[in-house]
Amino acid sequence: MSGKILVCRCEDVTLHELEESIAKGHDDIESLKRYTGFGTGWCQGKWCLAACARVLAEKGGDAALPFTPRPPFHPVPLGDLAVIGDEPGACPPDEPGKPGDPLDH
Amino acid sequence: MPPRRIRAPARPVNIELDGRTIVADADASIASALVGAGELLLARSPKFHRPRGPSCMRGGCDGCLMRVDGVPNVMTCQCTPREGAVVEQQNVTLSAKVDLLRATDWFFSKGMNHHEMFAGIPGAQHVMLAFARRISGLGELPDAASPPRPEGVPTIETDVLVVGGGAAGLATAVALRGRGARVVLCDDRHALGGALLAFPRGARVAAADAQGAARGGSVGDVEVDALLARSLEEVERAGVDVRLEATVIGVLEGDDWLFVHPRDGLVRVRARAHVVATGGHDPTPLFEGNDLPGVMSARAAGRLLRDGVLCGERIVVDGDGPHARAFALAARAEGAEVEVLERASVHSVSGLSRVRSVTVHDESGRATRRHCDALVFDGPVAPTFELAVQAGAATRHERFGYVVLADERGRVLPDPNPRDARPSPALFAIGEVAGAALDPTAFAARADALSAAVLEVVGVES
Ligand code: FES
Repeated sequence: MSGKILVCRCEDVTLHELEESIAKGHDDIESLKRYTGFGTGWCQGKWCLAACARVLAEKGGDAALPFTPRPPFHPVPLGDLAVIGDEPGACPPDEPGKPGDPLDH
Repeated sequence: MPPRRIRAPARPVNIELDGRTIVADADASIASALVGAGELLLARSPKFHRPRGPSCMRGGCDGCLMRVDGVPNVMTCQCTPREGAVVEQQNVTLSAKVDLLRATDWFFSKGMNHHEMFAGIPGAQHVMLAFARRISGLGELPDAASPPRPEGVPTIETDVLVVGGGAAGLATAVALRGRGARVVLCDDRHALGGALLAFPRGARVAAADAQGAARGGSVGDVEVDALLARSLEEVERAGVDVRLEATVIGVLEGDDWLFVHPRDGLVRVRARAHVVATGGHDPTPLFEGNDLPGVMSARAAGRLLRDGVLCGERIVVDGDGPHARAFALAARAEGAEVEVLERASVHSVSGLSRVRSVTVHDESGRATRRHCDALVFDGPVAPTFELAVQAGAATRHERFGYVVLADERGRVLPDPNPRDARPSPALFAIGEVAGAALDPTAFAARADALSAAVLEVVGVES
């Protein structure tokens, strides 16, 4: 039986990997997320973020702010989101991809 | 012993799991029905193909993802079954029970660092990456394209949008209606109640609990079902516009929030004020085997019990909290052998495809092992801050998660460096999301103060 402790189930990130990444200098929440991939899976951090932030803080890293939570909060079929393109005002055609448009990430 | 049903479904429907017929309850989740039929191993993890089972029963993990009626990655704990629904395991290479790719788990015993995997070895890196890409991932494409949605997004206009139909959200909606505001209340489940529905039926939640006391509150002596019935009746009488299975997925503009409904698709709510009452995510315990099927939160175990399903015969409960206590009591009453750990902590759980035993360390570090079918954990929840932060809220990091900061009347403090530069004009938060312990009595009092503050902002002309 392998003795893995999972800190992120959706992306199979282990505590061992998390601690190693922190030791390598990925010691703030955004870089740690980008390096290990925790919080990028199905649950988008619902299961893992608090635990990873706790470990990071215990190791002296910067966990003051969570990583940026973006829509959709819950998985949505693309077909459901597709209607938004037809929406006047939802994503103004004159400003495609303007920064901060929540549906444009 | 695998989990089992202790109560026949009130509204039975037949569903099919990999060719086998299972009787489900039309008013409970598909995942409950599967667990009730003894199936805990519902999913496989993407890289190591580790066995996964429901951990939260609340749409917050990967433990119940299955293919339902040809649609991949359905969170089966969040949806109710229809007669004849076909449910299949996904992400397996031989059969549901024996997944050949499980070998990757043993091969990469500490984890899989894709940054350094075979890096520098000519050729090997590419072969390995190609292999990793093939074995990783979740599910296959749907059988058919999803049916077209009506053009455009319908808009609901209202005074206040309340997100979350738990104790805090229900009390807030009623208080706001009492002051004359129009209220839309969105909840992502098929029934209102939030974390109250994670108490087994008939649970009484007795005086000041550890979690409550530690965070300055108490659940009080409440009969949960009576409280819930009373709240639902008040909501109904007050004329709150309740939207069930309405998952709020994002903040589009400061005052335009979107929800998704399984039948209606995307819907926009345009409100003059927003109250976030989204509660909390389960705590995440860190020990060896913490993702094994049979490891679940007390809230998940309580939801299962409410649906008439007991998660095992021998159960170890770790951590304190109202849900753990209520679950332990109710599971014992159903004949389960329940051990609540005191002055000991879980070191590891083991089992090949589900929990078979747990090893605990006592205060002096001495290890002992007991056989069991389930490990149920509880503790302070991690506030569900995501929507509030999208809307511009400030948070504070605590050991248990990120608390949404609000003043004493519930008005959210704005993030000094808002990420998307579009804070909601009138944003409020109440309940566990704001760091409070689950306490319906305290929430009701707070809802009253909060509703007065909301009315000052939106100024309803009645
Ligand atoms: S998401 Fe369904 S059990 Fe966690």
